[in-house]
Amino acid sequence: MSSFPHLLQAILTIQLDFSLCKVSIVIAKYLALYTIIYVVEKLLVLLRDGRKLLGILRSFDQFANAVLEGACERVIVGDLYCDIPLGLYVIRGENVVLIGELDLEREELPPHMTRVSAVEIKRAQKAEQDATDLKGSMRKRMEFLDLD
Amino acid sequence: MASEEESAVKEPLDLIRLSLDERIYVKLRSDRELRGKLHAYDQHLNMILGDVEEIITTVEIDDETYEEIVRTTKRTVPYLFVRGDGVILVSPPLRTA
Amino acid sequence: MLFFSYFKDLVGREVTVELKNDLAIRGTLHSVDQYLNIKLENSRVVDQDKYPHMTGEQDAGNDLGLRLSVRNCFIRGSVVRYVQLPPEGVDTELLHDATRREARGG
Repeated sequence: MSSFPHLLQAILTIQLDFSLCKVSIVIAKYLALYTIIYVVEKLLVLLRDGRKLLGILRSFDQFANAVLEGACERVIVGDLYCDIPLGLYVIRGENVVLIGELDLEREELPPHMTRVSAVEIKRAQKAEQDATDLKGSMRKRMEFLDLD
Repeated sequence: MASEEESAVKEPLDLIRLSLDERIYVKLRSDRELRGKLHAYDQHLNMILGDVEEIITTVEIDDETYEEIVRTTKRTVPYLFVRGDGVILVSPPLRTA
Repeated sequence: MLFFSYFKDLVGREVTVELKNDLAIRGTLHSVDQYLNIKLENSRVVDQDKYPHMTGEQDAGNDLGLRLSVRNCFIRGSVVRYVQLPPEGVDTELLHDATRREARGG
């Protein structure tokens, strides 16, 4: 429990392994008061459209419907990334590809990736989209040449 | 010896039952084809194939000429579970009567 | 039920799960349920450079590697295309019998 403030002294840690995430119930001593703290690990949810959501899993069911608290979307364009805050999200299970536990001890991303502002990432995203669209439309314009 | 009931073909999946332990051809969504020995299947057409050859057909667009380039990629896998929702067709081996 | 039972027996073995979005994840099979949802432990992305948020300990040559932020993961059954099985985890005779039994049952 290295992430805890120094004031907190963990007395007892109980780890429950639910099917999706580990929940630690920590009984800690905080300024001489005993407190129970629930720690739910941070998760990454990969959606079918390729979007990546990060947040704290509060609830889920058999269909993989999930409630993410403090959710944000991680937009990655090339070596740039940005976490756009979203708030509380209920995700319908059928859109879920994968739910992964994030290992907080390790870096989440390779070192050469740079964090940029939401405005910049949107611009980069649009540039990428335009390049793809151009390729598609050029192909259409060339079709009359009957390349095949 | 298979009993008469076991060899009768009344519904489509019976044909697949008769292909157990034989090499079959499977066409899948997203331009994928498989050839392999059928070891197991269920009513969803989930399958386990052995000694599998997969062929993927991809179409790329050339950056300069905008020509379509058709590529096929082959790979082999010893044992593969295939989820039934991707299956388009299953073709049993040709039998010589 | 056939494949649910089969995968339950495979728990603890290394498998590679290939998804419909072309992502391939290798890991130890931790658990499976009736929908064939899969939980993997020590998961790592195989041979892919498109997924920097998931990329893990890969060959040193891959500059996107070296990191794995997702160790354990849950994969929804419906997004699975293939599962590559370990040869020692396949008993063909057993599978044939189980398949025939299942086909008769309905």
